Amino acid sequence: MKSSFIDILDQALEQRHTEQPVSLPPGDDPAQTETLAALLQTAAALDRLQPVELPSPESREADRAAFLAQLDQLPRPQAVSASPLERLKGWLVHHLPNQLPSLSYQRKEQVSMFPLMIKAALAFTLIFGSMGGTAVLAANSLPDSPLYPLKMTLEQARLGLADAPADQAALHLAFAQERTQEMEQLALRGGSLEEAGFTALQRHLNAAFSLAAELPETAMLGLLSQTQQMVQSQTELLTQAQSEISGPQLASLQQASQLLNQVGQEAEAGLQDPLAFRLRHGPAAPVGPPLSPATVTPTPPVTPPGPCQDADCQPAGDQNQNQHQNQHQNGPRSTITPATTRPGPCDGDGCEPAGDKNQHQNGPRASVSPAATQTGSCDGDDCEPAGNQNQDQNQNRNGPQSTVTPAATQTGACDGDDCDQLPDQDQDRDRDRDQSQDQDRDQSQDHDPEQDQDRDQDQTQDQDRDQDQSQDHDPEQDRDRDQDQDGSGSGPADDSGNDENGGEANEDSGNDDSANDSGGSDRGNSDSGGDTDNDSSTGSDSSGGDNSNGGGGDSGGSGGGGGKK
Amino acid sequence: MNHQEQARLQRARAFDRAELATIYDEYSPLLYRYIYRQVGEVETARDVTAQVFERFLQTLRQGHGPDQQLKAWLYRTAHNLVIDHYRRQQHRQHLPLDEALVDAADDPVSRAETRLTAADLRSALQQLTPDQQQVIALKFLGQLSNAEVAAVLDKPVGAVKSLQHRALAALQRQLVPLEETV
Repeated sequence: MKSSFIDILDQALEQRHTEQPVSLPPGDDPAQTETLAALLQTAAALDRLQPVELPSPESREADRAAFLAQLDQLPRPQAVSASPLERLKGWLVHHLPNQLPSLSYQRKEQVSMFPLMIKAALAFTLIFGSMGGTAVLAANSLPDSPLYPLKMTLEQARLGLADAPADQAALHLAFAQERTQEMEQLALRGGSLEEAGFTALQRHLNAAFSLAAELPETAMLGLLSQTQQMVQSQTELLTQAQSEISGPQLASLQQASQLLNQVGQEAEAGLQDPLAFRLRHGPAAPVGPPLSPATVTPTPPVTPPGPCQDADCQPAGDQNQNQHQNQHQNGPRSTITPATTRPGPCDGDGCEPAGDKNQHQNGPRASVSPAATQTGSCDGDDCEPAGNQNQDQNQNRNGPQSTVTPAATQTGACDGDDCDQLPDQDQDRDRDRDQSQDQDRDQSQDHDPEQDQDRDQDQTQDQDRDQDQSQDHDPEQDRDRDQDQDGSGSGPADDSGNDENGGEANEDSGNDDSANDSGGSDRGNSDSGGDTDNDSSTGSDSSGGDNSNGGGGDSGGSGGGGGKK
Repeated sequence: MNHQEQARLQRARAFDRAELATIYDEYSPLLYRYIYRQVGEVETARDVTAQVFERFLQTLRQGHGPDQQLKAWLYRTAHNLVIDHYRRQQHRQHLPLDEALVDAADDPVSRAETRLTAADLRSALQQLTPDQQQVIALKFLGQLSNAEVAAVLDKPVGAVKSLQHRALAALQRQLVPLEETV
């Protein structure tokens, strides 16, 4: 719609100098008509300023004469000698007339050398230059171009030629940027944005992170910084484009923006806690769905995490809230999908029924059935091993906890697919909790904060409350108790917590072109000028530093206070 | 690029005096107007226009210069020279408008309105991004077509239309409160 209004405006501007009345499409929106009229009025104001003060005829003539004088003073381009081929041919004919009779063959007709040279050059170019030329054309092609597959092939070749992981990671980052730019250009052009482009973007970003996690710290941090810069620039690009388009392309760009926001936050988290970043993205991390944004699309299919066999396992939960808080803004660590997912079967001692009344901000743990919120032993599909209530609050904002598959075991042996490796403090807490837990712990009259956390993971609040009533506690107390346990005391943070829409704030900041005064002279001699709208954009840098304190600290439930944007 | 344009550029590269004079006669008035609206002074506009053609000759002498669209190349060069001019003058405004611009109507009231509008437009134009200012200057003040503006800015035509829309919308937002006070 917006692109058609732009065309209508352009057409109206073209027609304003003619006798033809400005024609609007049938059924046009009155508001649009009014807007168009206002813009035409502004254009008319510009038209009124057209006349300029011309120099006198004498001055004009003097200027012309000066130009011609300058022309006369310049030396003319000198004639060049015969082409090397011609010279070679002449030499051969001169020195080897018998050995090369064809060269000395006198044609009946004189053939002009120039067309012959052109043909030879064309043949040479076709043979040796077409590949390069095609490659150049392909490099700028978009997904709807027939040369696009060649572009992909060339990218793969470049990746194959890169031996060092750092080089490969940098290439993936560059390709991710390229995918984003392709989406932007295609959207502006009005083309349809295929899901494959977004998938490719995801793939490159994940690959970059995976490779970065294996690099030495300095290199990894450097790459993460690069990632942040790329995310910032591309987010600005997409934000700008989103203001120009509407329809399905807008949704696609929003999705890409959200993914970039998540990536930016993940990079920020990695910069602040490299160890946790490695755990999340390194080789030890379980294979799972890639990074994905808070969904704009319909809910993806549910993917249950694997079973957790060990008592120390905490498949669907993250002790270290700080570690994973950022991850779970728009999708937890790399294994998390944004959709609600069922927790896997959990039949260890540490298991708790899944469910948390505070957790389901945007994506409840859909797999948990009310019946499964019974405390005590839990061996059904809706069970969720022990996890931190506060962690879950933040985790499930956009992607429920239950889908998280921890990367490594926390304490002791955890050989389930969804085991999580946690910092020592959290491990200690878990160990303590696990040690104090038994199948009847929720039914016990005496409850401790940790038990309450576990209890509150149940999806069905009423059932929990009912159960807990006998134990003389209520959700509010639980929430407060949980927060107190963590020492954060941030009451409302459980619910408000991290801003899952942090990325949106960034989107707004860079859109107002009129707010930017770049000062044209600052751009120097750039021919194309360049749009400096990006200057004011705040990018997607996460400010939620407190959420990524890798040391874990007291991650129990610092209320999601992360000032995520 | 059509055959005529190709032939013209070929003759220009060969320093065909007549061809170069024709090019000067055709483009110098357009460039002068475009430059004048950005610098606001006759003499400065004459100087910058002369610099454009001087640079044109220099690049031809070096074997470079425009390969295809001569008009776009000249306007781009003019834009760069205007920027250089402001750098030397340490001016921050990218696109000042001369307040003494004379309206087509010689009516004092109209002239006063024009001055007011010119000053307001200048202030409003300074709020635009450089690309938007360029589009305004090329499209509305330089009377270039979308395709020509696209060639100068090295952007697709769609982007030029978008910039045009945004620039006018931004200008309109700036001017509406001012018009209400007039």
